[in-house]
Amino acid sequence: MTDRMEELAARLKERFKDQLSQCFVQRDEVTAELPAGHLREICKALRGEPEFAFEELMDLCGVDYSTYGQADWQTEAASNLGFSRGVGQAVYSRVPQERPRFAVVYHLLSIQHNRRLRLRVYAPEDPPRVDSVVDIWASANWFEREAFDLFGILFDGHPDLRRILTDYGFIGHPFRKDFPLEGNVEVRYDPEKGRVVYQPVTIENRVLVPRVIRRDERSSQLSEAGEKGHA
Amino acid sequence: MPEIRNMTLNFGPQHPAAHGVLRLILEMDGEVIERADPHIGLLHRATEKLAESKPYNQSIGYMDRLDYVSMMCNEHAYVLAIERLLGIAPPIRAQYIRVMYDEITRILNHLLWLGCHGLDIGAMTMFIYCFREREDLMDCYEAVSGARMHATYYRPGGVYRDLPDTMPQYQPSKWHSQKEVDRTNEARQGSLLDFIDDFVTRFPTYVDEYETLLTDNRIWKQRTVGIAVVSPERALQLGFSGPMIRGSGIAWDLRKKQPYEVYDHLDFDIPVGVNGD
Repeated sequence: MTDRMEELAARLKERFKDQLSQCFVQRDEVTAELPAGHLREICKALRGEPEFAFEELMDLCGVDYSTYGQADWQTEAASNLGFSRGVGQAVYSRVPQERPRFAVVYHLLSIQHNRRLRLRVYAPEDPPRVDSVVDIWASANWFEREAFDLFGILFDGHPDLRRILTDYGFIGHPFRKDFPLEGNVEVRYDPEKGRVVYQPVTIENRVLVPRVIRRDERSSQLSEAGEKGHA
Repeated sequence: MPEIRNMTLNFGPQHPAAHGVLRLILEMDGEVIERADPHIGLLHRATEKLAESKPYNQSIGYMDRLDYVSMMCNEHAYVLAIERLLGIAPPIRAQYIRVMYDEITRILNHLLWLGCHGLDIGAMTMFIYCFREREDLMDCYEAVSGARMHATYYRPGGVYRDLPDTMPQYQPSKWHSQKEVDRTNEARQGSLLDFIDDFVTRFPTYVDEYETLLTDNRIWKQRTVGIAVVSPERALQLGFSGPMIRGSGIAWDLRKKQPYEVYDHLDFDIPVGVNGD
């Protein structure tokens, strides 16, 4: 399997040369990174040329790299907050990075050659924007709407770039790392007004595992009793 | 002559014919839908966002709920991804268990669509027949994981625990006499594997029953044959996979083409459709 992937990576490099910024094989999967300017050109070639023949776009999604590489779970010391790491506001701080914040990832499949390929396109502008591939693969239509809705990535040339998943009149892009997990507004029925109303959220982030209390009278008594029992 | 215009109709979000919550804005020409604008987000649960702030293990149970009729298959995809990232392979027994439960899930899933689809287009008996067999398969789920649907059974590196040696038994109650219970318990005397073995010998006769109910049913055929045909080209454009693309006549199955776990040691056939309807 790996040989075939290496072969595909080599042929991609040979065919597109400088148009790709990077192309590598990792865990039996080929990833090609390309600048946003060459996207449509390369996609057309990947779909059309019999050597590649990637007939299907299986997935398209946005990625927010703003906290990439920040290891919330890595720690040397025991935490007394249980598994609350990764939940608090601290995660939203943007880690300075060389790479742009947003990227769009395309997963292609060639039925004919039984091969897959991943394309990654960085969108350095603000707001992030890349070209639409709807006319190359029709399945991109809803995927691009999803990436627009959840990450706020704009797709130039998309025929109908509307929100697809979030509520009517929703504000913000929920999958961005700086969007709070519990959201900003909640909906409830107001019996006095006789209609459904929106209000600021009242829920708080929950920690999944209860706090570990190591120095507690009862537990120390218990553990002493346990030790005696063993002895 | 009065001007005839297409009618725009709002369907849902709450509608008895929609499974769950779905809103469609339909442009109708008489009884024919000319255009549809689906508003699909009403059941969106932001799984990725929720998984962001959890250790990987704690999201396994969430995968069950993605497609709540193929629970363990979702888990499988998730744990396979973790295993690939970590570069580990589960023991061979765990691989067989997972493949076996994938296939049990597949039957569960197909029974649900067959039954509910029958119900939706007017063949109510199908639903009752299919759910009768689903009950046995959900017992298999319950025997290994304790839950009938959302099992959280797979783990990165294997499964939560080995297959049990005994099957849980039904108890008599006000509604089920001892005689009835004995009959349902008959297949549950041995281990879980004995029960599954018994099920797969029983199952073909059930399939024959479904065939009797649907295959030559005139009403069912009127409502399905030649409806919503997807050509192979269109199927590729729309990124179809699995049974959908096979329905359009393209022989594509990951279990054959890119086998994972122990599928390359197993002998099985894949049906491929021709009509795309």
